[in-house]
Amino acid sequence: MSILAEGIVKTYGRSRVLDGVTFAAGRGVTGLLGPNGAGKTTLLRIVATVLAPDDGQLELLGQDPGTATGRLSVRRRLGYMPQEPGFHRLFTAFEFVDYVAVLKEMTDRRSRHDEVRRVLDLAGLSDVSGKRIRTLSGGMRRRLALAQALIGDPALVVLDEPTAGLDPEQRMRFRDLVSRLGENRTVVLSTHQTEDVAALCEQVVVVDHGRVLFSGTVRELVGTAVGRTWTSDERDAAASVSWRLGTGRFHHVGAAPMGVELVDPTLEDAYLLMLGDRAREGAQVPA
Amino acid sequence: MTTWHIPDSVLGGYANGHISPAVAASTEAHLLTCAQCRVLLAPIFDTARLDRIWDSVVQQVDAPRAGPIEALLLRLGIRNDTARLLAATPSLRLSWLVGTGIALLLAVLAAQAGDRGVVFFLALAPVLPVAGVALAFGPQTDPIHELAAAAPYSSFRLLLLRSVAVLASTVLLAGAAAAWLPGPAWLAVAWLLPALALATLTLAFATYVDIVWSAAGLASLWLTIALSGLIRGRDPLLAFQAEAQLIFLCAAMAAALVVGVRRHTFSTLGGSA
Amino acid sequence: MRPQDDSRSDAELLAEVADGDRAAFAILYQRHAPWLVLRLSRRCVDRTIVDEVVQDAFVAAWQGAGRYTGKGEVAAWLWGIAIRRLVDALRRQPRPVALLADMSAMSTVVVSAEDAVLAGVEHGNLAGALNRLSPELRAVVQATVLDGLTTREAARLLGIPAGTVKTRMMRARMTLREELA
Repeated sequence: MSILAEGIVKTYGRSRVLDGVTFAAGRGVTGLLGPNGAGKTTLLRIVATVLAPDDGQLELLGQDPGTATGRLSVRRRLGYMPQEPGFHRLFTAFEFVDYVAVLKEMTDRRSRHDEVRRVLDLAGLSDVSGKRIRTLSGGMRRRLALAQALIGDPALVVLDEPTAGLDPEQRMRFRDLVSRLGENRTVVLSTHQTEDVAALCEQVVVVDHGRVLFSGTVRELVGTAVGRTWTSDERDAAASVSWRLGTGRFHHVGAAPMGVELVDPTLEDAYLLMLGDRAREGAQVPA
Repeated sequence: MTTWHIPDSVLGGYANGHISPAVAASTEAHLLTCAQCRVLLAPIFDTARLDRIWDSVVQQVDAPRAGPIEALLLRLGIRNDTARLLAATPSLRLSWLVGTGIALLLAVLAAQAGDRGVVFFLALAPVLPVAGVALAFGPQTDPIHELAAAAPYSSFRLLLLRSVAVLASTVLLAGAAAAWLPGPAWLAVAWLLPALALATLTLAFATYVDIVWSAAGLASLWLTIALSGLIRGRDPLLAFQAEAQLIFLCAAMAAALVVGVRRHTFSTLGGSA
Repeated sequence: MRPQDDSRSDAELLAEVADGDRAAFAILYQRHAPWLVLRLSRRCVDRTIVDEVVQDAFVAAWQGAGRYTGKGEVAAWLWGIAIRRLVDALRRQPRPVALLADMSAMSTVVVSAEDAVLAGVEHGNLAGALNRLSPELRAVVQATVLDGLTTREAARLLGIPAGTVKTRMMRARMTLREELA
C-alpha cells in the first residue's frame, strides 16, 4: 500500500476541515469523490506533503512524512498537480516544466531537458513547448500542469480536480492519459464528477464534510445502491432524488416502495444515495 | 512573371553536382523565389541526414534562453540550476528593478537635502532588502509556491538563496548611492548593520507568521525608530550611533540563530511540521 | 502533414514561429533544409561544417523569427543567415582549401547547348561567358553577385585578401564585357 492514512485531522480556525479521515491506496487509480467543500483538496495537499496534518497517522510509500528525511524521501518519488497551479506569466511551456524539474533536483542540464521533452511529449504538448503559457488554451494549461507532475517518473501521482473546467473531448483525452499512468503507479485523483471515477478508478473513497463515507472498490460502492433505484412514468414522491430521463420516464433513487420497477444502479446513484444517507444521519443543516 | 520551372533533368543534375556553373547559378537564383521547385528537391534528398540535423536543432531550440541576469550568474560560476532558480522568477527581477529605482531616488534625495536627507537615506536603505525578500518569496508573488512545496528542493534553501541574492544586489546599489552622501565617511556604511538585522529578523519572524506580514511589520517598526530622531529634534542620527549598531549586530545574530533552529517550518505550507 | 499539404505561406509560418509554434517551425524546416544543404554544399565540401551551419541557421531563424521584416522571400532571408554562418565557420577553420578544389572540379563540366538554352533565354551569351571564366574569378562573382556577400565576407569565405576579391571582380567584369560585346 502506497498510502496509509488513519484518523487524519486538519483544523482551520474553528472548522474541522478533515475530521478523522482513514483510507488506503495502492497501485492503480484511486478516486477521491465528494462534493465541493468536502475537504478533498486539503486531504490531497496532506498526501502531497504540502500540508502537515494536525493529528493522525500517515504513511506514504513506506515513509513517515512527519519527519524531514521522510518528507524528502517521499517528495523525490512524488508528482503533484494542484487544483490551480500558478504559472509565471512570462514562462514558455518548456521553461515552466524545466523550472519544476530543477526543483525536483535535476541538476544536469542535458538530461533535464531530455526529461522535459519526454513529459511534454506524453502530454501532447511538444508542438507548443516554445509558446508562452499565457497564449495557451485552458485545456493545454491543464495538460501542462499534469506534465510537470510526471517529471522523474514518480511512484505516487496526486491530481487535484484534474478534469475541472474541461470540455468533454478534452476530458476524454485526459482520462486516457491518466488511465495509462495508473498501470504501474499509485495515482490518487479528486473529483466531484462520478463519470471520471467510473471511467478511471478501481478504488474509490467518498468524502463529505471531512469524513470518509465509503472506501472500497467501485463495484462495492455501486452495490450499496442495489434495490434502491427504480424508474416509472411519473415522479414518485417517495424518492430522495428524481430526474427525467431521455426517454421521458423518470429515474428515482431512495427507499423503493413495494412493486416498483427496479433498475440496476449506476455509480452516480450510489454516490447520491450515500450523500443523502449521510445528510440524514448527521441531521446537518446544509451550509 | 514567367511560369518557367526547373526541368527535372536539371534539378537532378544540380543535386548531384553535374551541372555547369551558369546553370547552377540560374537554378539557385530560381530556387530562392519558387516554392514549387523547392518542394521537388525534397524527395531526392538524404532524409537521414536532414533528420540528424533536425534533432540537433530541436535540442538547442527547446533550451530556454538565458536572459542577461542568468547569463551574468552563469559567468560568475554559479551552477546552471541555481542560476535558473534565481533568475527565472519574474518577481525577483521585478523586486530588483524596484529596489534599483528606489535606491537611485534615495541617492538623489540624499545628495540634495543635506543632513535631513542623509537620515532619510539611512532609514530607507535597510528597508530595501526586506521589501525585496518579501516580494521574492511568498504566495502572493510566487505563483508556483505550492508546487515548490511538494518538490524535494529545500524550500528553506530556496528562500536563503533568493534572500541572499536580493540582499547582495540591493546592498551593492545602496552602497554605490551612499558614496554621494555628504558628511563623515562612516555614514556611508551606517545602514549596513540595520539592513542585515532587518533582513534576518524578517526571516526569523517568517517562521511564525506569513513573510509579507513579517516584512511589513518590521519595516514599519524600523522606520518609526529611525525617523524618530528627526521629529523630536534630538540627534537625528540617534538610531545609527555606535551603541545602536551593536544592538543591530546582536539582533542579526539572534535572528540568524532562530532561523537556523526553526528552518523546518519552511518545509510545509502554513508552518509547523 | 507534408510540407506541400500545408497551405500557409512561408511568411505566415515564420510569424507562427515567432510565437513559439514548433509545428510551424518543423514545416519550415522541411521546406527549406534540403535546398539550403545543397546550396551550401556547393560552397563548402566539408559535410560536417555544412550540417553545423544549417543547424545554426535554423536555430538563429527560430530565435530571430520576429525580426523578419516581411520584405523579400523567406528563402532569401534564410539564405542570408546561412551564408553568413558559413563565412563565420570557415573563418575559424585553418584554410578552406577544399572550397577552391570544388570550384575547379566544376569547371571541367562540359557546357552543352541545351544547358545554355535551359539557363533561360534572357541570359543569352552570359551563361557561356560565365562558364568560361576561370574558377577563381567565377568564385568571386558567385560570392558577391549571387550570394549577396560584401567584399569582406567574400574574402573570408574564399580565404583570400579583400584586395584580391576586388581585383578579381574587376577582371571578371572586364572579361564578361569583352565576351558579350
